[in-house]
Amino acid sequence: MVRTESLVKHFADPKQGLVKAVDGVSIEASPGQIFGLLGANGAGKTTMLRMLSTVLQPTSGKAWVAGFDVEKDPQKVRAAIGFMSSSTALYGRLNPKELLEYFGGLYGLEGAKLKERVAYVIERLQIGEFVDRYCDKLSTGQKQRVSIARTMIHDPEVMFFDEPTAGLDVVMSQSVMEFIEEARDVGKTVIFSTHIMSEVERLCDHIAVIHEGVIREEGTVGDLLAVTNEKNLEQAFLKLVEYHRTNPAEAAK
Amino acid sequence: MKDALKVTRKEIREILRDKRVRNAAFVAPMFVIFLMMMLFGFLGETIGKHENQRIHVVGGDNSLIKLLKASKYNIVPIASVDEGTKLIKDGKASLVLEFTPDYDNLVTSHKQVHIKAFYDEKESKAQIAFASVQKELVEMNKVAVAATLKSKGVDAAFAEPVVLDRNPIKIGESNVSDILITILPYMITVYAFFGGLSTGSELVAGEKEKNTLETLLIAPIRRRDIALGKFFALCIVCLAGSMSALLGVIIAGTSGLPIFHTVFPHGLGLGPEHILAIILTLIPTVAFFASLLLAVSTMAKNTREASQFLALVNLVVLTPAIFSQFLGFTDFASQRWISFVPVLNTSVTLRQALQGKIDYLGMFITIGVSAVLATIAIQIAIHLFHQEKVLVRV
Repeated sequence: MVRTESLVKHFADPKQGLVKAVDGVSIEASPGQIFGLLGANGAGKTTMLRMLSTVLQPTSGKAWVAGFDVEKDPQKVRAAIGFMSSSTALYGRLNPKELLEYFGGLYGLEGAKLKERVAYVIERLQIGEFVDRYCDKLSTGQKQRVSIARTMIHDPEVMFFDEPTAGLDVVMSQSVMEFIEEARDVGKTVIFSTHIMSEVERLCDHIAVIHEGVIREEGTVGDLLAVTNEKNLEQAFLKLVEYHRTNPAEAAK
Repeated sequence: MKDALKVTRKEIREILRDKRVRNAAFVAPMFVIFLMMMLFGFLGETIGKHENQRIHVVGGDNSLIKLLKASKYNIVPIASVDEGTKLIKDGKASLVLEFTPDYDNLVTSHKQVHIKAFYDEKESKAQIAFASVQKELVEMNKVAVAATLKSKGVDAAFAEPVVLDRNPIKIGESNVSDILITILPYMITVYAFFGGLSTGSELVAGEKEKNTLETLLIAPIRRRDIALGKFFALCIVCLAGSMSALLGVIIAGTSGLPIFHTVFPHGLGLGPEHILAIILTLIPTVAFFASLLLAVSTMAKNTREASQFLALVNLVVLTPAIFSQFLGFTDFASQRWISFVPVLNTSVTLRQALQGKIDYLGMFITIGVSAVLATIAIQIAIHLFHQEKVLVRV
């Protein structure tokens, strides 16, 4: 389970002054559920996930992941989560097997248990054919599979996906989404951050629309459509973030 | 600590697969030192040989020219001083000697003879040729004076009423040549730093740039262990840099090749005790360099910024290391305050170890100072690792 109460993260930027990246967010995601964080670039999604994964400390508010307080028990939180993002990379001079063994070791797996788990994820994600090749030499799709394998090496209770399909083609995106669905089906709590409406519609059981660090609305897709009185999620989202079409003539004035 | 060692193992595995680091830390120091020793050996051999000293002479044949020829100098007769001056200006001659036509007559009639020597004072080769001929003349004059005195029934000792006898005192058991004592401490110290330079900036700043740091920070190991793991890996690379330089010396010194005879007149000259003292002094120095590199890399946003910071750090390391080469010309080496100056103290201790006269108090102070600095720098790196800025610097 993941729960936050009035979570706030402010940054002091020398140029922009105080940046309110996340401003009083309260959410709750349950096991066996995919919780979508829907927002445009810079809305605060990544900051939110970084606080939940203990990389950033909240300015104020509280958050619990898998029952552990992110501030009081950061190590236990980290042991319980898997984090995957399109921006995170692999170690280029390690091969997938070495990389999985390394991360498995960091997550406390050892000896036969580590070997067993590495063999399982290699088999499960069909990494075997390129398991001895350096990660630098892998294709984008192969890297993505290794990334997923790294995320699940320790069989985490909670999984965070930060725009995991960004930059991937349709086929690769499909396999990532299938993996996320499978994670939900085995009872994991999944937080899925994206700005792609079709992915939200397909995957998310519950959606929070985040804009300028604030949750504008949350609920199922149906709830959002009903609240905004729109026919599709894209229009509903734009309404919630108060998007106004720029009039070129007015802009010129 | 177990987690730190997991990080170290992974870093070392990656480092060993990086051709650039392998070359910079493991191969280049050994190779450069070996070539440098070869160059010094070659210069030592060629400079000392008369066959390689071409002397242009004006004024026909005489007894001195015959003597120089007998001593295997390369004598080239030319027509005039003007021609000789032109040859010097064109870089085709080093030393031109002008003799008077009646040179032999004046010598046999016991008159003082002046030989004019023309050369470019700024040219090392010309200075060497001049000094070499001057040495021949001193010897010749000594023989002539002795013969004259003897013919007059006077003891030859009257020509030199005061003689300075050389009585060098051997301190320690070292047979290491002067040239090694001068340059080796500098090279070993500098390679300990430069060997780890590219690895240092890659270890954290490189991870930020390549977006691999976040996955590491999300793993359930303490930030302290991440920092220490990287620090140990960097220590190994820095130590490898200096040990590679030392290995270059050992290979050259034990090879027995004639070209190394001038540099290693008594063989390697380095005993196990010298090598042990060098390693003992180097370990904390290497730890200091590694922690410094790690702190800078952790502070930097990316490898480019890390390189900019490291350019400044270079000065901190290079300046005392360069100064250490000139210590032999001063009294500083024996002064206690030197032991408290980072980097310089290491060079001085290495120098003393090579000379076979280790100042143990100085060595312990050096080790202590380096260890304290290493502790401070690693604490800074660990502190930086606990900051959010390690991942996001706004």
